[in-house]
Amino acid sequence: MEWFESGWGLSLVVFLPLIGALVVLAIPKAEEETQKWTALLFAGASFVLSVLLALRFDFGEAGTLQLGTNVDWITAINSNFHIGIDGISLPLVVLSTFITFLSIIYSWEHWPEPHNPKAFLVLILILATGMAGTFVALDLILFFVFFEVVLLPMYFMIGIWGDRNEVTLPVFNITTQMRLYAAIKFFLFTLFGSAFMLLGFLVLYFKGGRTFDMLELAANGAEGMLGSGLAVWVFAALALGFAVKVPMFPFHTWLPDAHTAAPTVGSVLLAAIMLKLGTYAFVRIAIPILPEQSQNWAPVIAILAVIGIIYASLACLAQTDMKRLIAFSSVGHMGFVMLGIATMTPIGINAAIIGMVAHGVITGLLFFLAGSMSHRYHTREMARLGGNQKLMPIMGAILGFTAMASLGLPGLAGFWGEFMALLAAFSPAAGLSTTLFRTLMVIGAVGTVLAAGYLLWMLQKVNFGDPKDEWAGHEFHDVDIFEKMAWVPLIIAIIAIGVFPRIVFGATNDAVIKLVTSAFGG
Amino acid sequence: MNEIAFLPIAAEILLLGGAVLILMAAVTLNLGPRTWAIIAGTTLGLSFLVAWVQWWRIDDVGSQIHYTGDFLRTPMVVMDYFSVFGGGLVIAAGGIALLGGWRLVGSLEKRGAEYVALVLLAVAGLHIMVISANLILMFIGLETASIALYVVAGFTRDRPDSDEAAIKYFLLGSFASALFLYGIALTYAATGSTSIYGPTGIVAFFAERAITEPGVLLIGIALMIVGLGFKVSAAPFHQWAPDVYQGAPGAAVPLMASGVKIAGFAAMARVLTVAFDASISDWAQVISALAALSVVVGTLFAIAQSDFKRMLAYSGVAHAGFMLTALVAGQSGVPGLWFYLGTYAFQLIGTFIIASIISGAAGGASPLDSYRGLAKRSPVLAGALAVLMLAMGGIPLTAGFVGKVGVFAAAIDAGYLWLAIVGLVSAVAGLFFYLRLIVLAYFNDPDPALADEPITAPRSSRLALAVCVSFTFLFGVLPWPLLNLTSEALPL
Amino acid sequence: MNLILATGFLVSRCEGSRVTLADYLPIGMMLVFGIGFATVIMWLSWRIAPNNPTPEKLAPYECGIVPLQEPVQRFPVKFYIVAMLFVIFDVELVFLFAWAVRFESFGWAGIGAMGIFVILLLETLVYVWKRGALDWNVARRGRNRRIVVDSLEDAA
Repeated sequence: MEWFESGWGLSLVVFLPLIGALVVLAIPKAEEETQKWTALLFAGASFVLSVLLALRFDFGEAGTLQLGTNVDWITAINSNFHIGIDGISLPLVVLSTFITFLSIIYSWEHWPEPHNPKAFLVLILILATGMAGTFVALDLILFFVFFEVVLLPMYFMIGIWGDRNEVTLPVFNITTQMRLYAAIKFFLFTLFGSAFMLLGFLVLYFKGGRTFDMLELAANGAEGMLGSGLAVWVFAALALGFAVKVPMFPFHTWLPDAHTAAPTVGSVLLAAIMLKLGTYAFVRIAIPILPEQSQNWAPVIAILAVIGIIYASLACLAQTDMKRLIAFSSVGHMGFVMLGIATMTPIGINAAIIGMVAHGVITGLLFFLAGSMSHRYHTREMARLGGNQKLMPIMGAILGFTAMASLGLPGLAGFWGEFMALLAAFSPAAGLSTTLFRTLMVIGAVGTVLAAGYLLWMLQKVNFGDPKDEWAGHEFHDVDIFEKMAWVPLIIAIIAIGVFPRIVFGATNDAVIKLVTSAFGG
Repeated sequence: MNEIAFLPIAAEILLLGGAVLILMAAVTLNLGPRTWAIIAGTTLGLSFLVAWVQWWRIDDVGSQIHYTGDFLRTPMVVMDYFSVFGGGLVIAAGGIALLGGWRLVGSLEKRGAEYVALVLLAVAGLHIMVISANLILMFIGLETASIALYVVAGFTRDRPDSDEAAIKYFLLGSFASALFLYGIALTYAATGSTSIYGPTGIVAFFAERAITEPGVLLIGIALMIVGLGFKVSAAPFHQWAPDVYQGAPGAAVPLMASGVKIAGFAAMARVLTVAFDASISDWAQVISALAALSVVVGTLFAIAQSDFKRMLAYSGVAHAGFMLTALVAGQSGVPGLWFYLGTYAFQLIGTFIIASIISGAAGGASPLDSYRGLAKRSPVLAGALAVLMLAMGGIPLTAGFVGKVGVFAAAIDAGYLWLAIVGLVSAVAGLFFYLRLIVLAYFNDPDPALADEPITAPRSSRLALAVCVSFTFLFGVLPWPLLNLTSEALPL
Repeated sequence: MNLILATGFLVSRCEGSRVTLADYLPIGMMLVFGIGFATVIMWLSWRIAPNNPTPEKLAPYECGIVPLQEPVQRFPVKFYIVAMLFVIFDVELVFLFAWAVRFESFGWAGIGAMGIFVILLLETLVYVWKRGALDWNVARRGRNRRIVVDSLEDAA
């Protein structure tokens, strides 16, 4: 297994889906069964390998980057194919291969219109490569490439398979289909952020010792090589790029549209993994390379995060569309993650990572449920739903369970992220204003109450009560086999992480402590 | 230097010979397009081989400046990595563009021979611009290429917009040439030389003394920048581009758009970063202003277009701006410029080939609506279009991204952070209209009247398009072979 | 290649010495003198000549019929083609003159270069001939007729 640990295993995890995409592309369009099995095979292999990696991972040395490799890539600009995982990226890599695998299972019999499974599977697989690649890249250019690779498949997914309802754009007064509007908005927002991120990377390259290597840059950054005058703006540029992806208030407006318009699997992947690319980048790039600036900007990030929490909760209460409500709840959850990061403490960053994983499985499941329900009811209007518990008992039960997990019920996965983020805000890192963070903690705690409020409100509208008259006489098929196969692992993961958070913390804790020590000098 | 060196100008001799042969074959032996194709293909192929031979020759003996015979004291031609790379690029672009538009040749009947010969002459002229070590020779190359292209622009005379394109191109082009020539004259007045290299050249002049009253020189440089700015369609000298691209025969536009840009930028780089390297602080300001203006104007106007070719013309203005962005860094920006130019040229040729497939080789308007639902009518063509559009927009894993990174890196390194910011923001805004094509092609249903009508493309166009797309993709994923070449391709 | 040779030659003639603006002084003086001379002559003829216009003197012709229409008329495009060809060949041949003056110093390279130049001219002549541009009578043009007629119609 020497080869496996010297970077090949990790490369396979990342690139197997891409190879799978090429293979699927080569299969004739009519042979849908073969396409599905091939896609499943490659996604499954990628998932199995990522689990094997986790088993091979040396948890005693979780702080160091392992199982990676570093080979020349673009020598002209000193950019290398440098990959590796540590305790921070390991859970996220596993999460991304896991969710991809489940998405393909779920897709088996649930194809959005227009059908075309071949193209859809190809896009999912490319997406998988981009997402896993972002989590393992240790070179800024490589990171950027993977970061952007994710963009296109999602753009096509929303644009082709998305919501075909007509919308009228507020300012331009153009009537267009939801999918077109959401797709272009998603793309331009993200790319706008990415442009600044790239700018920041380039400045880092020239001022940070002519290298794109994150580890070298982090070493140089900790020594204060970047100075402070320019570094303020470098951090701002990077943070803008990451914040759009997270998305942080006030850059979140693309998210509800994109989620609402995307097909079910698109929403799941978007919520479960793609949002984490931004927060992960904060932890992996912004803090180690620009520690001083991270600290300077931390209050701003924390305030925006808390505004995001409250704003999103209030926005949720105003939604009539179930999917849109879940989308806004994502903004709120990511607010907690950002609050955890902004405290710059080991507890906060640990909270952020477990929050990311938990949000991935919980919100992923919620979007699966929303997708399946709108598939059956042909509407997402919560006013028209209702009595779901009676029509589809199993589906209703799972929805209830997931909503509980989402509102942070202790014992389920969602609890740890929120609780620990608030805990960390009680005593932020030295140098940050305790008063400010404690105030934010209180406001954030109000946010958790609001979250409980809107989720219960949603449950009440959708699940409880008697079915509406319009559904009388309809025969609804409860959860089918593919849905069960996709959802049961998620439910298990939610309970497992909730009861036994060491699954995540065991990997992250050492890595986070090392990161914080090397960035802020103990 | 007792004899004429033929290696540096072998490409010109070959191209000229090829043009003559084609004309003669057509009128005396009455041979058809197949023969022209063989002659043109051989000529261009051999010229490209010559570029390789030149490269190896430089590997052996180093860069050389060439005098033309023992009775001349001033170097006319330079053979360095810069000229060889640029020359090879011009020939490759010319070859692919000719191949992509070969359909036009068949429809022109006997005049097709003239068209092919003119294209070869244009390529020869562009090649002269790249290799010349003397400003007047550079001007002659510019004129040779321009006059050939003026004629090509008006080649489909039965359409009024082709006439309009030719006249517009001719008038504005002549004006630009005149400005360039006037710039040369003023430079001569200031430095006493039109040669760049050699003991009496401009470089030697600047090495010997500092100019205390730079007025005449600065006006000369400015006029040359304006003249070449016209040719590469940098704002605010870009107004001719949309009309010409739209009116000229669709199959001829690829060469007009890409070849002139390559040679124009090569000339600009040679003049500015070598001859006037000493006054970089003066011209870099002008170039940076032009670059910023070009990216902003090009992007904004491109958003407003409803015709594909006009949109490409304005996006070309923006791309010219990106390339100027690399030029502000002086010689250290040349590799970035080359990479951008080399990859952009093929993206441009590819997109114009698609445009000529959709709206006919003879040219004319190509409304964006005709791309509606292209993915359903021809998935392969839509895929090619998507790759090229994304490359032009600078999405990673296409050559466009690597090019943009190189350009902005050069600008930031030279201290022009603001220019990089302007460029990046424009690049993002520019994605809007590249994506619009993808939206039209993939997310919309075709016009019912056209839905069942198959799109036919001749094998020549498909082959050329395949080359362009695979270049774009290949150099996006594995950019280093080209990056290694460009990093060496510095002027002497 | 010839262009390279020719320009190279011209340019190198000029670059023997560093030229400064002061060297243009003779040209400037000549300019001033030329313009001044012309002005003086015209002024003199206007000043000295007696001015006594009568209707007869102002008529285009002092005898004959008064023209009824504009003398400018359209005439066939063939004239333009021939005139254009003449100008092209005429101008190209001027290069021969410059070479002939100094041909000894150019040596064999010059003869070779000029030979290529003349062959190119010849080639152009053959092309023009074969395309039928030299035939005055369109009707007799045989094989190439259609092309020229087409192009004439296009022009019209």
